[in-house]
Amino acid sequence: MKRNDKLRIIFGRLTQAIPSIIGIIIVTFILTRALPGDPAVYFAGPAATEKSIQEIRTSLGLDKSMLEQFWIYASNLASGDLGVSVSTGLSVKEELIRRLPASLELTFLALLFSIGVALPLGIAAATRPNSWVDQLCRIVVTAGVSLPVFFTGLFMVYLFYYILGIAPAPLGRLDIIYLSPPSVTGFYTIDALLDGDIETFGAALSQMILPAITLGIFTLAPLARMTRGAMLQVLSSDFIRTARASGLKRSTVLYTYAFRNALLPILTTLGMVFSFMLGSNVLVEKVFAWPGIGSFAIEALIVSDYAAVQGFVLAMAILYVLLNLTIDIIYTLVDPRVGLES
Amino acid sequence: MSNSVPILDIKNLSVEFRTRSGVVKALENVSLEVFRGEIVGIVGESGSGKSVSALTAMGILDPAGHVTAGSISLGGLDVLGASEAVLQTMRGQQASMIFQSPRTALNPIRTVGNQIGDVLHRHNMADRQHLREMVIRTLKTVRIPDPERRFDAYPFELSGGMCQRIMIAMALACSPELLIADEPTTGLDVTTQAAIMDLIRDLSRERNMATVLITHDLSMAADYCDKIIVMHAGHVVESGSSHDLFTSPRHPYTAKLMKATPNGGGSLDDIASIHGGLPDLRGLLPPCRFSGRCERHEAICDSGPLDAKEVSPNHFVNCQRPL
Ligand SMILES: Nc1ncnc2c1ncn2[C@@H]1O[C@H](COP(=O)(O)OP(=O)(O)OP(=O)(O)O)[C@@H](O)[C@H]1O
Ligand SMILES: [Mg+2]
Repeated sequence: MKRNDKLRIIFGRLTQAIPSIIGIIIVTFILTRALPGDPAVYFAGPAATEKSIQEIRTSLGLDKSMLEQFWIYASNLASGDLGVSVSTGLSVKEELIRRLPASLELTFLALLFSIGVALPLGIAAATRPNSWVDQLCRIVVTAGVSLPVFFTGLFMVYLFYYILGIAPAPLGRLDIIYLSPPSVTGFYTIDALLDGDIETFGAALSQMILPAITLGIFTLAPLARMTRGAMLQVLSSDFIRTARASGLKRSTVLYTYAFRNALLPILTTLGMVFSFMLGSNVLVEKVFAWPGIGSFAIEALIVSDYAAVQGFVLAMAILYVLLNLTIDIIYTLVDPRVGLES
Repeated sequence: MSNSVPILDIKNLSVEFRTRSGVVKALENVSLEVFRGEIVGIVGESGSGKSVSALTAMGILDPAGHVTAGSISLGGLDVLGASEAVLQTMRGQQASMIFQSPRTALNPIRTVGNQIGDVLHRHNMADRQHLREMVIRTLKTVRIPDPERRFDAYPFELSGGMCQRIMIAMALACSPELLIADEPTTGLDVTTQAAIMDLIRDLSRERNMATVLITHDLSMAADYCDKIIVMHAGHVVESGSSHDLFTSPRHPYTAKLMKATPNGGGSLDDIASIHGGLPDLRGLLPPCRFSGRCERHEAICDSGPLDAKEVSPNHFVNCQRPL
């Protein structure tokens, strides 16, 4: 009976996401049209005549009314066609399928790094307020928010590649001497493992380490701060006192009782941090020549490549929705009270 | 009788809190004894040091709190000298504590059955296979209807009274010798209050436990306690049998409490208007911390340290000029 309730809540969240996606499709369509710059002029080149611009406009379908354009866009979308990027000449879908995994793989590793450092640090800082760990946590938080991503990125490249020579050249996902593994998930590390190719796995991983740390440092701060704060608050609550008064072991009190309760606000922050990461990818991708979705979007935006921008925003929107859904699901699994109020 | 050695024996205990705004002398020279089979009430206004005494006895005082003098023996264990590991096994097994607002005193995201199970498992009272069975048996002892179903309930699914029963079940799961109940019925409705108090009394009589009942409610103390300890601003001002205290209070503060609550009933919350408030526990304090509120105050009261006087057998008063 309880399980069913949870399934129903999760299903409810899923259906709630549909209107937001429709809204996002409409809004991006309008916003891309509102961008300054005329793609027809851009692609016609500097020597274009009024007539050739007009021709390009017709070929891009930009001479039709907004409503008509939207109708064409929406019906193409319904059949899974995201259009063709005018700047690269490739289908947007193909571009996304190639680039999204690159960005996601990087983001996940960065998140893993960030969680792996921030959570233990935050917990340790909360259990020993004003100790050296707490000070360290404070320093990390301050450094994390004040160092700009491009700076940490460049600095790490300088130190680990140029000076120490222990990191590979910051030139994309894989050194050119390796072949990219047969694509299954699009994540090079996973695909290489599936292929049983340990060497390529190592190469792909080593390419990712610096950009992932760069990205991770940026999100360390909010995560560590939230972990510390949430743990402090939970540790001072009545039920922790009860647990201690019952003689429960320190580890039980800390993890089974305190941390699981602190997990709820931490999860929320994690969702935010993940969105941050997707957003700040662009800078990291530029520094490390990462063929991700962020650099693709920036380039498309500059040339008013409508199909590409729309495809990008849509992909991001769906990612956010999935992300929030995942967090909601974890929430309902961790917290028995979820769903009762709504 | 085996009553010669107290289960809980606090001697001359002083506790300070180092806070940003100064050192709070929360307890000074507090002594109390609780024997097997008796229910001892601690009464006093808010801030008089009742909870601090209890928490110190359990060894779970806030890190800001420091014991500056005194000794605590709990079932023969030197609480202030023992290691944290020893104290952990003591807690829940030899001595347990229950708190007010039972709903927040339970872990909100763990089933109540599992929470009791954690305690049983911690103190090796049951192995994993028999844990559920043991928990249900424990739930039965606190008269929880339908314990099999309640096992899987979360605190938010239960009433306040039910949560307090769970707390009691958890506290008594390992049959401790000492139970400290810190305002166990605050926030519950009157009928539930009586049911919870009856339960605590019955169980402590059945098991011949030493029980400490911390309360604001004088009439409750009168109804349920064999002995009463009156605290004021971190001092024990008077202690004795309930009967002695209610029929012939000797400390002016106790007398005021009785008078302010007609028929010895009612709650201290309503009578905070005893002349003046509690003194500020930071900074310099007079030997008698009640002197500022006392009508019988004279020069002798400020002359030297206070000692407990035995005014009649087992009836002690900390006052230079008792009634
Ligand atoms: N963690 C702490 N830090 C600083 N001071 C504290 C702390 N805990 C208690 N005190 C102080 O110790 C004194 C006694 O507090 P205590 O909680 O024992 O009162 P109480 O008699 O239990 O009151 P109540 O009836 O409100 O529960 C108070 O003056 C309080 O301000
Ligand atoms: Mg208290």
